[in-house]
Amino acid sequence: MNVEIVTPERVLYAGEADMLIARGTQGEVGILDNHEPFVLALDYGELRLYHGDTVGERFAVFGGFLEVRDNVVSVLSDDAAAAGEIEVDAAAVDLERLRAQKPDADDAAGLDELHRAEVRFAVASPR
Amino acid sequence: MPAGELRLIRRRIRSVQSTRKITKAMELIAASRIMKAEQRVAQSRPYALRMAKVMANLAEATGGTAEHPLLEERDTVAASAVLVISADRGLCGAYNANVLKEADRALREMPGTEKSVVAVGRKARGYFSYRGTEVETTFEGLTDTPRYADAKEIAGYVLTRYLDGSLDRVDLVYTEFENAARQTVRRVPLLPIDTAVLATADTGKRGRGVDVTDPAEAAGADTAFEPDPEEILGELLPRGVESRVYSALLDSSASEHAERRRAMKSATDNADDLIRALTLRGNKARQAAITTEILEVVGGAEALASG
Repeated sequence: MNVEIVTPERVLYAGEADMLIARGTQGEVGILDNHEPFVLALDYGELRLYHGDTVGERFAVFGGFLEVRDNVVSVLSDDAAAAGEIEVDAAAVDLERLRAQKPDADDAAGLDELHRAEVRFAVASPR
Repeated sequence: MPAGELRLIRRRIRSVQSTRKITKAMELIAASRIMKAEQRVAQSRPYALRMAKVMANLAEATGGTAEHPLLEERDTVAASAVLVISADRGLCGAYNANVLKEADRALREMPGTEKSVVAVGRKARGYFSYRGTEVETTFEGLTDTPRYADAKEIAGYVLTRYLDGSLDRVDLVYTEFENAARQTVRRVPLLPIDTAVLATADTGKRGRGVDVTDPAEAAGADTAFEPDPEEILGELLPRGVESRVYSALLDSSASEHAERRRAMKSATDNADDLIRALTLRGNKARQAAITTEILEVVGGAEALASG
C-alpha cells in the first residue's frame, strides 16, 4: 500500500509500506494492505512503517488524521517529524526542563508541551 | 551659466544612480523571495487538497446532515468581519491598494450592523483605522514568510470569536498567486464553513499534479470512523479553517513579492532612462562650456595679436 505523510508545510514521506502502526485517540491502530475505507483521529505518538516484518521509518506525529482509501493511507498532521530529524540530546534536555516545571492539571498549554516533548524524546531514542 | 548647469546635472545623475542601486537591490531580493514563496505554495498544496477532500468525504459520510456550529448559517447576522491580508510594507505597486479596496467593498456588502476588520499586515491596520472602521486586532510581521503556526493563531482568533457568538460571519480577502505575472484579489466566505466551497475551492487550477477525485464520486458511505464522524468533524473543521488561512497567507506572500519585484523593476528601468537623458544633457552642457572657453581663448589671443 501507498503511504503519504503530509504536513501543511511539506510532504514528509511518500512511499510504499506493508504495514502502518499509528496512535489513534483511542489506542494503537494497525493498517495492512487493502484496509477498508477508514478515518482515524490521531493522538500524539509514534507512527511506524513496516517493510515485511522489519520496522522501517518512524515518525513523531502530533495529532491530525489518517485516512485510508483505495489502498492509499494519507496522514494529515499539523506537526510531524521523522525520527532521524529529531536530535536526541536536544529532545532530552527539553524534556528534563519541562518535567522540572511540573505543569499542574489545569495548565493545558504546559501539559501539551510536556506531552510533545515526551513523544519527541521517545521517538528519537535509538532502539 | 553652462558650467553651473553641468554641476547640477552631475549631482542629479549621482542621486538617481544611488536610488537605482536601492531599487535594483530590492528587485533582486523580491525575485529571490518569489521563488521561495512559490515553493512554499507548492509544498502546502498537497495538505490543503487532502484536507478539503477528507472534509468532503466526511460530509458525504454523515449524509450531509452533519451538525456543527461551524457549519450552521446563523438566522440573524448582527456582527460580521473581514479578515484581510495585506503587506507590512509599501513599495509593492498596487498590491495593498487592490486588496484593501476589495476588503472595503466586502465590508460594505456584508450583512449585519456591527462590522469590523481583522487585519493581517500593517497596511491594512493603517487603512481601516484611518477610515474609522473598527480594527479588532492586527497580526504583523508574518506576511514575509508565513508559518503554519501564524495561520493557526489567526484562525484560532477568528474561530474563538465566531464560536462565542461575537461574530456571525467572516469573509476572507487575500491575493491569489496565479503565476509570477498574474495575481488576483479573492474574496471567500470563511465562516460559517461552506463544505461545498471547501471541497471545490482548491481543486480547480491548483489540482496540478495531484489527483483529486470528485468528492461526490468518492462517497464515503461505507467508511469506518474512529471515533465517530461527529467527533472527527469537530476536530477536522477548525483545521480546515487553519489550512484555508495558511494557503491564503502563502498566496498573499508570493503575490506581494511578485508585485514588489515588478514595481522595483519599473523603478529601476525608469532610473536607467533618467540617467541616459541626464547624461545626454550633461554632455551637451559640457561641450557648450568647452566651446565657449575656446572662443574666449581664441578671441583673447586675436585681441593680443592685433593689439
